[in-house]
Amino acid sequence: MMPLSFETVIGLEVHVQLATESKLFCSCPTAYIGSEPNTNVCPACLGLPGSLPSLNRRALELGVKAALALNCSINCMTKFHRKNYFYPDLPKAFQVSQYDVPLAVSGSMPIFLEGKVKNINITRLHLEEDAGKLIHETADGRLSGAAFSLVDYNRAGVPLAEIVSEPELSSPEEAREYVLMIRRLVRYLEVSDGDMESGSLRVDANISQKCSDGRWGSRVEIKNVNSLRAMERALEYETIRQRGLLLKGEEIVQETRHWDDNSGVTRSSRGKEEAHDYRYFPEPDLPQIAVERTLVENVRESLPEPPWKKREKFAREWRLSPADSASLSENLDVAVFLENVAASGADRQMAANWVKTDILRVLNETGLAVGDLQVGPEGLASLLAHVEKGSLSNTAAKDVLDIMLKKGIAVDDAMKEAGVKAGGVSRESLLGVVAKVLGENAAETALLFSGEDTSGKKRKFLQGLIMREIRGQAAPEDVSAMIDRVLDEMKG
Amino acid sequence: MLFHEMEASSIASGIREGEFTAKDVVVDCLARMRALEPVLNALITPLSENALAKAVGIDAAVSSGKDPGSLCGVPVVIKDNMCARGVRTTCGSRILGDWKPPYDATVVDLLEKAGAVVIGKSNMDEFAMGSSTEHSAFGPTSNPRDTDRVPGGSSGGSAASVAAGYAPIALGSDTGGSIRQPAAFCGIHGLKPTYGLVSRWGLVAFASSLDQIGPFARSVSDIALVMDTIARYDPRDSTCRPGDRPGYRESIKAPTVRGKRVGIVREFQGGSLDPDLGRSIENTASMLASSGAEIVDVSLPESAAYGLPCYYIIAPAEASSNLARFDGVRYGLREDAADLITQFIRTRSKGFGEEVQRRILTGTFALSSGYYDAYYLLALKVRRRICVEFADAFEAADVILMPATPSLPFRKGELIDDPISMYMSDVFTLPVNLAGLPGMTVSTGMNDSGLPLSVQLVAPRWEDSRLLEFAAVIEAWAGRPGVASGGVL
Amino acid sequence: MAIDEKDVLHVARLARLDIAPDRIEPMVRYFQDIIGHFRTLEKCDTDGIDPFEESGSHLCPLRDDEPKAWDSVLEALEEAPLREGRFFKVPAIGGGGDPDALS
Repeated sequence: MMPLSFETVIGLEVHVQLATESKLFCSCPTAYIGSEPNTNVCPACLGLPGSLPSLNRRALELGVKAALALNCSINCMTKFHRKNYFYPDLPKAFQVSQYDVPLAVSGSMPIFLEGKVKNINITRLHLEEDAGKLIHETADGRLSGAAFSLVDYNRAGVPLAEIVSEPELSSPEEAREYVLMIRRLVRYLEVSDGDMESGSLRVDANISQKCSDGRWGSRVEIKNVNSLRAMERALEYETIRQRGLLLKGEEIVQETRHWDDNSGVTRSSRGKEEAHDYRYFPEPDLPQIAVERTLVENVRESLPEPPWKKREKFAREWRLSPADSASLSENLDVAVFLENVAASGADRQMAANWVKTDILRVLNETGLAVGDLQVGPEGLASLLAHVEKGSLSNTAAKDVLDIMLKKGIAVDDAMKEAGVKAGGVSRESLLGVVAKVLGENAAETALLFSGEDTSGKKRKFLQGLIMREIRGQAAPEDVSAMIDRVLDEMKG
Repeated sequence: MLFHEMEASSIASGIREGEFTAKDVVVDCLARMRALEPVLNALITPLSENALAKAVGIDAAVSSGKDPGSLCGVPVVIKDNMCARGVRTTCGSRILGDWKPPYDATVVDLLEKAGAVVIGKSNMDEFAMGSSTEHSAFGPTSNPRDTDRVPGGSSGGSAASVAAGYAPIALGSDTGGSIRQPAAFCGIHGLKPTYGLVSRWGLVAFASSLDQIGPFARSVSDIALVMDTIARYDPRDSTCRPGDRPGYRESIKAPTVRGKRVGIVREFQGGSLDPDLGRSIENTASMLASSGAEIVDVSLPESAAYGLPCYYIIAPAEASSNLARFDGVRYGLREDAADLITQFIRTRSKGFGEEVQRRILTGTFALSSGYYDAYYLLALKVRRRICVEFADAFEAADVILMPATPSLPFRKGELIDDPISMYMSDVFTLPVNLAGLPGMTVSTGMNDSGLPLSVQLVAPRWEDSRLLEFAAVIEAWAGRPGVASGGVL
Repeated sequence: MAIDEKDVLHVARLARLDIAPDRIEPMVRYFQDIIGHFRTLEKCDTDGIDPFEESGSHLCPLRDDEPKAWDSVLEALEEAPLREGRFFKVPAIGGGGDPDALS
């Protein structure tokens, strides 16, 4: 008998908090982190009797922006529904969301894994309002068995875009790459800060197993995954649990399970599920929304190249390594900076190396954004022009870049300050320095002279001393040529 | 002077011109209110002190040469489902406790900005669900024309206040007839504007797609005066139509029906319609014909057959969602419990009256899994048919003339234990809400027993001024309704 | 299909309402009556009707994204039946009595 094999089938629902100034259906500020509880609230987001919703245009635009970047079709007439359930963080006892006519449908997005590209289809993108926050309180400080909960509605009504994928992800790693790509995209688009830690990007996962004997296990929804790591662990756990059940010939129960990050298991929340009946119906307080062509076209014109296009361009056109293509396309500003360095005349590979090692290092160390740097792409390009011409060594150029970054001055001024000049050593004085260094290091010179320095180590050592003496103001090839000339003269 | 018998427009102009003061008017109306309230119970919250203070302020403004507005010093009564900042708002329910809204309804704000003086919040069927003002946690209201009878509902307190002379004008809300039916029962005029003409911001919702605020008055010109004040675009209500409104008083300056077509609805004549009300339609039609209008037959078979069940699915469905927020967390009544879900259940079971619970349950049922398509979705489709049917009727007629209610005001307690028969009192009004049309009850005098007669006029969407023009012609013929004795002579 | 006590109690659980034992029977009868009325709608010819068409209605207006703080938050907080500082306070969630768990 053939051993059974399995395929994992995963679909993700990603909730992205949209970067608007005001809430989805009222004018309250969206900044809920760090605010005193219940400060950014009003009759509408507190669900006071008699209050009504009014839709934020910007939220609609940001939803359209994400949808277009995901290659979705926009529904030119869209509408909101009420999702009814009782929970204290839901002030109206219904969430205004979208149901049968979402803002956008049928998109797709590539993910990259192990050198391969896989296209993931997007089912839909819809807008909805966030709920408030509950804080569980105990009289004696215990974590469980809280007697009371406290409710803060500052987050209630903050706009969310929910992006639903088709069940086309086949491993926890793919799920991770998918979420990372969504995060990269929403950051590129400035649609959201995409921060999972603070909850502005949240994921629910659906997972099932397809067995080689033809059985297909029921779908299980996993909630409460609050980090990428938690999502991967939960999906790994569920894969093993579901395959185990199928191997034993048991059924998978279709249900929602909650991930317990401390114990590393998912737990059934069955019982509650059976009676869930959200009684969706069209929100009568909001007429249909026309997503006008001009709005869509204006948004389309503002779209940057998405992260996967940048990455493919760096890999295919620029011929950068897969790792470099990935890291240099992670952030839109860095990618655009790099493109501009190249556009200002620098060699692509050299520009990529410098941005990757020097610029990213500074950004990491200082926490600055690329736009905050004292050096623009043209500045870096003009520095690299000296390196490319051979008139400035890498070492010297790095010193100059440091000064440029610190002082915000142009290349020429920075070079003056570093005391270097491009090609600043005459052949005559280079000859003098080489002769002097060879003379001072007679033992090494002798080995070079006799041809015994087969590894070239001694030559490198001497060349380094010379470079230091001339402060890198000559190209390495020129120094090397000068060493040969002096050696020839010695032979002569 | 009997200020409480005057029209709002005469009060406002008298105060503006210094013939009398706002205080004189308010004192007289409050005295009237105090005398009749023990019998009528039309108000849940009288606001005597606030009203006097406001009147004094208006007099000061007038004497310093300012114009406080078109409703300068006019006493008004507001149905107790509209928010007035800092004033207890109950919706006729226990569940709101002593809730004091921290904001004003748009209509309240507009009235006050025009110089009106709110003298009380009126009694109503709980959450506007009812046709008799007997379903109030604050006791029933009596009909000032015959105190053994109900004033109609749900805006019975507002209608009774105007009929009894507490104020020349009042605001009500109409979801299935809650302005037009009590206006008919109390013998005054009442207008339900086109859906979307008046802002609902601050109106505690019953059924959002049907609710509309409108005025009661004892004269057509006062109805027009209120409409000129409250019919404004309000960006806080997304269902409120953007753009300007016509001048409503302007539309009744020289009212004429000459050359206009008046549709009589075949299905709504005869049958169980009270013969006096049937005659009222016939007499009104004859008068309009002799004034140059053309009387035509129109047919509304689907409104007649399906209006009631369609309404009693859609309205409770929306209500079940709108009333879910009353859970004891943020405002109003809270019944203590050790856990949250028990708190929800206890609070809601104790706070809502029986009729409201019935409607929440039927609405929840109509939306629930397995029944949504069979009931809610089907009702939405039937609603579309009713809209189309009215639109077709308006191809043949400029205005439809039909009864407002099937019966004269019934006695208190008569229908209280028979909810479905009670629902029948809105059979002529609720199709108008389903179609979003403007409808107006026009008083046509009294029958031989002294009970009020009326007709209902219905126009196409946004043609509210056409209703007023017809109403003005009818009023000129039937006479303006007077103030009722309210059982006290 | 006939509506029975079980259906009515299920709906009551969804609506977070408790029907007193002596009100259950009248409520079931009311449901049967009103549903009888509802079923007359089945006679209406609704073929090809779009239930969501909003004829005569305008489109949803859009609001500019300009944040504005509300100046009456404290008044709203004062209305809370149970409060702790600026928080609304509720009894523990779950803790037994979850009607969903009963079904």
